[in-house]
Amino acid sequence: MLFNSLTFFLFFIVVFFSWIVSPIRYRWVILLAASLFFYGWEKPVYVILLILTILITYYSGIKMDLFKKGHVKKKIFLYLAIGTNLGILIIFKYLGFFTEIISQITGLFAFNTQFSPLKLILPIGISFYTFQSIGYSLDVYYGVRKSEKHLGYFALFVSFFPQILAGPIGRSTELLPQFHNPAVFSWTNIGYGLQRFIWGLFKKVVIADRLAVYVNDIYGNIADYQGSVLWLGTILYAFQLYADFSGYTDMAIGIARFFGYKLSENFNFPFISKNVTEFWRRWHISLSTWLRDYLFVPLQFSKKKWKKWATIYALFLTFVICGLWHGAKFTFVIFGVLQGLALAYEMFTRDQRQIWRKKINSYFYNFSSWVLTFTFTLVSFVFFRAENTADAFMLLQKQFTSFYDMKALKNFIIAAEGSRFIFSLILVCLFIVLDKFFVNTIHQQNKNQYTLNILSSVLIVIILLFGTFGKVDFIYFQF
Amino acid sequence: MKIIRHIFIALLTIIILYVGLMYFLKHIKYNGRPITYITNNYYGWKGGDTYEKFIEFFNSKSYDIVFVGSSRAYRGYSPFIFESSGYKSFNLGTSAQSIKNTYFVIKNYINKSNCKVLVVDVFAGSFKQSQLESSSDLIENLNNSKAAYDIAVNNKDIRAINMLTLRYLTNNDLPYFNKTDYIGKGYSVTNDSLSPAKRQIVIKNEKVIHEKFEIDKEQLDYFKKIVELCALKKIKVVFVYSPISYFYDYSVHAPFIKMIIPIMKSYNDHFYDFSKCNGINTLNHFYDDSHLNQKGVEVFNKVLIEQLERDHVILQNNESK
Repeated sequence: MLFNSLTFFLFFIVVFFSWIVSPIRYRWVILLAASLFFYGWEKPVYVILLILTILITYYSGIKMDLFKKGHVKKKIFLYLAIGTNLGILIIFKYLGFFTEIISQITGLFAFNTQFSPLKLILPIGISFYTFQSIGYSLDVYYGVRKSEKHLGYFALFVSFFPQILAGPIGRSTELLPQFHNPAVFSWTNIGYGLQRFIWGLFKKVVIADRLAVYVNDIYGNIADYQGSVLWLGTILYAFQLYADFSGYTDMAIGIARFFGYKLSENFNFPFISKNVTEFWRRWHISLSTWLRDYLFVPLQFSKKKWKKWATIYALFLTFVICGLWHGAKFTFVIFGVLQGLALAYEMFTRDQRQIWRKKINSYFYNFSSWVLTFTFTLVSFVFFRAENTADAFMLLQKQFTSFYDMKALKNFIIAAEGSRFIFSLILVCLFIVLDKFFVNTIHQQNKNQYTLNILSSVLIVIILLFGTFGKVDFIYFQF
Repeated sequence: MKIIRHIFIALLTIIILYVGLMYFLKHIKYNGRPITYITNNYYGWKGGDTYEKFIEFFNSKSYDIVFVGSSRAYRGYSPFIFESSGYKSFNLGTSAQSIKNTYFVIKNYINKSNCKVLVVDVFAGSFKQSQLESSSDLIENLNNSKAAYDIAVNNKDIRAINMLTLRYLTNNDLPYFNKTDYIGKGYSVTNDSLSPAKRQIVIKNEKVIHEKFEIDKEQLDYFKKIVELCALKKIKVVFVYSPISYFYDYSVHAPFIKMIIPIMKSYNDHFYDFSKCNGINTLNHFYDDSHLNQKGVEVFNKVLIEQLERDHVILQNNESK
């Protein structure tokens, strides 16, 4: 069920009014029932998988609380929780990928063992809710929090419908306590939620889905286009991806706020980053902080004797896993490797870059850093978007050999109905200008109520008139 | 009270802004046309054969046969050929006309006094095609505001409402374009044959189209509604599957026929399957993947007239049964 669909609108109206009229103590029941219904809307059978995850993680958490840290049984229950979550993730997301690799390797050695790779349908949102559950189990194991005793609250924590399909990945220390203190109906929350939702909807239907038409055309016909057009496609894709994913996040945060819950922020204007480290502090924040806390730090700590190399090792492995988290494809592995390499480079050259910074004009240094970071981001996004590695390398090769072909660029724009293409670029510019302004204004609700009301009304009209309104899935649903 | 005032002001602001921006976009011209058309690709241009044929039909009195359907209809049934056999007819087929929109055309334009026999062109594609292209064309160009309103509202899509707003804003505008192959009575003619590249595909016996048999439930419901509406209006209706080219994936044909025959039987209506019509071949009688050229139309229409006469759906000497 897409947030930007009539079905969701009707669903939300029913859930919200049921939530309002029900007693505060039992509002979680409405939200849990709504969340399970929402998750099972497309494929009801996957609710079983979700319930299995909830029950095993919940049970393991309760049991872990009974033993001291380091106790074998505590470890066993941790492994049970992590094993269940990872097991589900591996079976549904990676088994096909691994069997394909094995099939190719056996084929290489002419073992004549022909078997077709397993292809299971990926349950939507599986990467998000399994990571959320694993995070909870680790928090309980390390004593960051006590286990959740209320099965209903815990089930809601894992399945909360605004965030289950594409995050933000909730932390047990932030989201679970909120369910213990149910919010009451508040117009302030509704105002904030509505404005945040409108902003997300604008990003999705006016920017992301509009750009998707051009990006799909370019990435679907790489062989037919010259480097200049492919650069254009990659730049547009960067904005499409950002608008799509951050749009989803804004909508999720907005919807949760209607019920009084605060979800964590996932983006902080990533394209202004001046280095890759900063980029990951601004892009998909809930995933990068999850990876930092539950993977990078333990990995680095486990090899602390290696000193600086421990960080490199942890960084590299974390980002390969980060790449794989996005999808069971070699393109995502390369994406992760590139990020790992860039971060390792930045770590090794930190002192040297500080020296340069003092020597060079600061404006020039900052601008160059931004250009390099943005270019690197674009190059890595090629692997994020391309169907396969062959396509990605062909695209990169063309990007760096025929980037100057302005005639090809002009022809593409004419073929894409030039005036409509220019209009789309104007909307992207509006998005860039409003991005920081609108979100900052929303955060200062009381001061800017009048401006916000006007701006929200203008955005609604822009959405109605310039939205593309096709049934286009959110990009991160595939992960 | 404060909240109600806020909601009221917000709604009022949205309505004023919406109409204001629409009005502004309509009045700013680019290449002589409102820039509304460049903001999104779903807006249908005012003009063309749809604009002309409904005015022409509205001004006329009565027909022996009226055809409805998609481009396969307005390019596949020539009222001029039917007229030469003594049957006054008109073609109300429009671009990508979905079954649902066919229903609204029949509801608002066809009645017992202006149509003796209604021929609905059907094929698997008309049960699954996106309504937007068809709705856009009809909302902008129908001369009956009620029909345009019906189509827009029943689309359950904000884009259709935008089109309806644009329709009211361009009400007094002259059409922005004419269709050169439109020759009147709702019929568009093409004398071309297949392109050389496509001819080669046929000659080399290579297949290029692979479709999946998909039927939209809502379109199927409207198909049944068409049958019921015609019964209610006491209009004789026949459903015709016009000839298909070599490029058509025939594997979707069998399930489609299997689906449609029981419905036809239950309503006791005629269904003619001319998908493989004697005397029609792709190389000589089609100008693209799915449309007959004039030669093909001549062959097919004669066969159809003979069949309809043989079954007494229409009677010779221009006397309908």
